[in-house]
Amino acid sequence: MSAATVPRLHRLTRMQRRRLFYGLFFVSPWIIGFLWFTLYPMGASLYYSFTDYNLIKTPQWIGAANFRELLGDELFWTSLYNTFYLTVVGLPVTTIFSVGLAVLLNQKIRGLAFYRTIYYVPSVVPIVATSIVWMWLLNPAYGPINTFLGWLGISGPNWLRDMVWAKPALILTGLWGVGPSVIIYLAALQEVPQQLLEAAELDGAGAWQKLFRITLPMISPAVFFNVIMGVIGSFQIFAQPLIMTNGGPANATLVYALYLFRNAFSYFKMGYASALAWVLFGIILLCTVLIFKTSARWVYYETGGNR
Amino acid sequence: MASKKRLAAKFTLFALILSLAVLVLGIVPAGARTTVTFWHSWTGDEAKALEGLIAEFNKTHEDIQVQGISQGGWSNHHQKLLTAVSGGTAPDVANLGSDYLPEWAHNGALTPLDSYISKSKYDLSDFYPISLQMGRFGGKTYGLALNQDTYALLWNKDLFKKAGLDPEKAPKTIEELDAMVEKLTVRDKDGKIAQIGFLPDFPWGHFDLYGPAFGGSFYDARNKKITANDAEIVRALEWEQGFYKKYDVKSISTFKSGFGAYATGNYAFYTGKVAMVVEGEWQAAFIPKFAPKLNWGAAPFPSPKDKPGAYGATTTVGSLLVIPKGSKHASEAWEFIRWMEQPRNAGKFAAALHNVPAFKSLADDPEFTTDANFRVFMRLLGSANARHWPQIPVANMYATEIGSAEEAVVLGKKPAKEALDEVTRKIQAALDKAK
Repeated sequence: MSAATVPRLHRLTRMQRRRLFYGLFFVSPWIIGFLWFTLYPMGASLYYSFTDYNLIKTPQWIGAANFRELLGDELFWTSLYNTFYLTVVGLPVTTIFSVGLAVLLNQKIRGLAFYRTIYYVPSVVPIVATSIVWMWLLNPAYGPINTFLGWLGISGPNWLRDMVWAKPALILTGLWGVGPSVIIYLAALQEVPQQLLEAAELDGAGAWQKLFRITLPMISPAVFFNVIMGVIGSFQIFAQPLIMTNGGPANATLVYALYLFRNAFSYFKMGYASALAWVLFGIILLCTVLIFKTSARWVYYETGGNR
Repeated sequence: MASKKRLAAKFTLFALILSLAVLVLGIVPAGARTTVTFWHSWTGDEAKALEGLIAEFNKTHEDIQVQGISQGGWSNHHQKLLTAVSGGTAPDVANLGSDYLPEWAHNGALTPLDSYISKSKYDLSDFYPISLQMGRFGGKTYGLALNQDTYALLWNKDLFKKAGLDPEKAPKTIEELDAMVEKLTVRDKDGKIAQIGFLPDFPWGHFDLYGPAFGGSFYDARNKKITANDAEIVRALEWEQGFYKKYDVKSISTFKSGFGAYATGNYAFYTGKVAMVVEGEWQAAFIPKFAPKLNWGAAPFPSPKDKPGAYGATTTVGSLLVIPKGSKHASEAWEFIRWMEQPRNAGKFAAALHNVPAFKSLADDPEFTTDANFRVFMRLLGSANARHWPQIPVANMYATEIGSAEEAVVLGKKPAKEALDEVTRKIQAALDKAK
């Protein structure tokens, strides 16, 4: 931005100034909320991350000691690994599942509105309720999932109490919450130009070719958006493991946010928890930047050319 | 103009009458009565029992008005209380779980009660030693026990009869228990477990009890040393692990997952799927409600044959009355605590909750001793082997780590000694740092 394009306040006409004032006035609830409820707590937690703070006593400045302690904390690494697992394994599964679902829901079949509603409904249910329902679904003795596996001759695991299967079980639970991303994919799918599909058809492209050569590239911006949101959400996963496993068995589902919460509110290590939060922020930022950097290779913008 | 004047006159008259009425009715002895806010975790009938006591206190104390405010459940209450203390808006008095006390006291969230106790010559000698101990931290008293739980072994007499065991005899030693479990475990024709004698970590982990029952101690208070790898504790965990080896982790976990919910008629001990469990005194109230036909008994948890001195072990945890830091009416709050902590009043509340009271003078009160099973829990509180989890600055972290170690060992991921060595090292380091 050059200086010439930045409007200076004193150069504004009266009208412009008044408009600016009204604009600011009308967004002020958000701005004040942001400053007070987001920016201030963030700033405070950044300060606390360099202190020994227990919620009650005045914070004591200890420099980077919290961050150094992190490196030697076994549970920090365990929780980081668990969270990465949920992201690296969970996100592709979730993405494929929700894109697939959106493609299916984009077909011209009878009762479409009904199906669309059905697949969105679980997203309206509170996480606590979803988690409890899934604890029942995953129950090895009377849960429907293992009953179904039993019909196929498979003896299903004790999902939530098994060190290997507990994390996949959480991913499975997460699939219930794909409603919002399916909606976004559906919107993107409706934007795919019909003429392109028709042209491809005339050239003899089959359904799969159309999907992979036209539809997917055309909705890649939506995939991009959902992947970013998914990474952020998955790194912050908290409620499901808290309710369904409380980090167990033997820390197999101790996710980052749960460990952070324990440090803050059970162990009173608020400074350490703040350091954990900022490390998580850094990791999410890094992942987001990486995805952004690679996006030029796989995200196609119709109007932006090589943006 | 005239109408305005008339209105003003009317208003003045009205105000005069009103203030006169107020004076006559005596509602405004301003400043004479201090309002003490009391945050508590109880709801429903339990809150009603507490409200009854509060009303009685208010009736008998002209200068203090206690206002009880339920914070809607145990963990909600503690979270809100912590936030309030941290934000400088603490209530004047509150109840606090004894398992929360050490971290709260260590971090300065509570006011020590010692000066109030000595000033008002409040007599602590009626408390059971373990009840007093659970309210103490670092040599100071921060909370007084209102009601508490103890744990014992419950057994299903009918299943004992069916297995050819004496239905009136609970195991006295771990060896007896193990032998009984064998007799009480039944498999169906596919070899799947259909009934089991005992599950060490059911309905939840009880390792804090097995440690002392095996003669071990989790903490050496004199030398400030974490002793999770104490030989007796290791032995206790190995015993628990042996259980899972013998009956197989996977078979047990499949069997367990078919259990019905706790506090319903489908609870596995009520339905006879598990013949013996470690449970708290509230079962004396639960069982008549959920499983009235259950024929059961309660006895202290057994100890190994070579450790007869450890017999009678129990663990306890309870609710304490505390004065949070930032209480604006601390001395009035103490007046309320002092009143509540009379055996008569605290006893009334414990009885309403079907909990064990903390006072020796209630040891033979028919309210608590008519039921033979409840009496077992009462007596355990006075046992020399009654324990509370160590009240140290890192108590919660210690408990969490022990729980994870227990899980890892039971699942066969680590040997008991190794897991407990790790816990000892980690918690010792955290403890040394916390000083």
